[in-house]
Amino acid sequence: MEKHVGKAKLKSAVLYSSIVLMWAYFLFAADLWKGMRVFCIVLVVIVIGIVIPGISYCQLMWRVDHERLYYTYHRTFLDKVTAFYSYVFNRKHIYQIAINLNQIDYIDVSYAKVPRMPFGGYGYDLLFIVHMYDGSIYQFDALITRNRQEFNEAVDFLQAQGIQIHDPLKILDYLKTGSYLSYYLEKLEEQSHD
Amino acid sequence: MIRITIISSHDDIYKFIDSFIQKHHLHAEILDFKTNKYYDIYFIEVQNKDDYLKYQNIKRTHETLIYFIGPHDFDTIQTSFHFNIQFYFRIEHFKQELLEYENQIIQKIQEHFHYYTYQNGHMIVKLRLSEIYYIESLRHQIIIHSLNGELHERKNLKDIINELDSPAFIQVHKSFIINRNMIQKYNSKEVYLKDHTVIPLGRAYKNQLKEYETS
Repeated sequence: MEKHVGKAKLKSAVLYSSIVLMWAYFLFAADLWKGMRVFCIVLVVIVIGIVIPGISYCQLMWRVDHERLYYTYHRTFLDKVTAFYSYVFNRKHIYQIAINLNQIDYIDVSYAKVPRMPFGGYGYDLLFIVHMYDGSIYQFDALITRNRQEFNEAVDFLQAQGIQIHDPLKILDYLKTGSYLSYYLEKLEEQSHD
Repeated sequence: MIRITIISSHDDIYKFIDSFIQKHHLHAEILDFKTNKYYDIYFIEVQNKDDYLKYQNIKRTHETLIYFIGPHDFDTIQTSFHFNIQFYFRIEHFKQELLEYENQIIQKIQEHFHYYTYQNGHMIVKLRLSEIYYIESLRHQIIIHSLNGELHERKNLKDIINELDSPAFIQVHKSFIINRNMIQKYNSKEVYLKDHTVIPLGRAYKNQLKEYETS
């Protein structure tokens, strides 16, 4: 048994590609101005080959089974595109980190305030700080924006494997209510400044 | 961060160790002792040899450093050596002895608790070098295999060996760097590690391995 947080949206990629192909076909057939057809072909190649894979693939993904916790983070758009094609050709995700559960001492739950593009606002990333018995530390952003249920189930599964989770700010409890995390963390920030 | 715990009834021992850590700019923190927690360094005060029973089951790895502080008593000192300790300080001369052997103590701590840090956005990994088994190069990335699992990073072997800057790591093949402390045995073709991994030994690296082993 294993739990996933964040998945490659292969079906969405195929759906988006089909829509783009249909539009391209109509534009190609209409041939409204000289060079239209070449433009269509280039557009289709760029959209299907680069843009759609980049959009469809998750920025972060993690998975936990009975033995290990796997995590990957795609920082740039190019990382996502590369990971997408690696997944398509190998039919398996390449995770950047694999952590043996039997070496985990405990996991601290924390957060970081980060700037969000494009309006100059701020948002919050939920952080897992994994402390190992040997003193090594793994810190990563653990929460994806959609499918909160998936995340809660994965955390419960981790705890069921005997992993201690230290959550002094009760962030995980709040996540289970289904409300927006940002509001809660903003309140916590305000309280800490008072 | 090096996790230090002090089990002592004397406040001045605690304060002196704290100032010792600050003096040497060790990236360490002193934590309260809990029996179910792992620490990297223990400073334990004992009154007599019966006190050792209390500390028989403290959590430790093969890198943990233990320092005992106790009376100048033969039986107590002799019993302490069953614990594979680094040093026994006589309580009445604790400060003098800590200062006298500070270079050796600091050297030992630095040897044991080196880290390799990898950062990608909010993802930060701090791996203890002593727990790395080997590093493998695969296409355009490296895979660091350690006691804790694996870490994939886009880098080449040459860069990583320069970054590690540790004599413990040696290249034994064009695609493999190993931690020599993790070698179980080797022959003319392969190196066997403590985690039962078998690493091919490149012809060009054979002599290098022998030199390290004899040094």
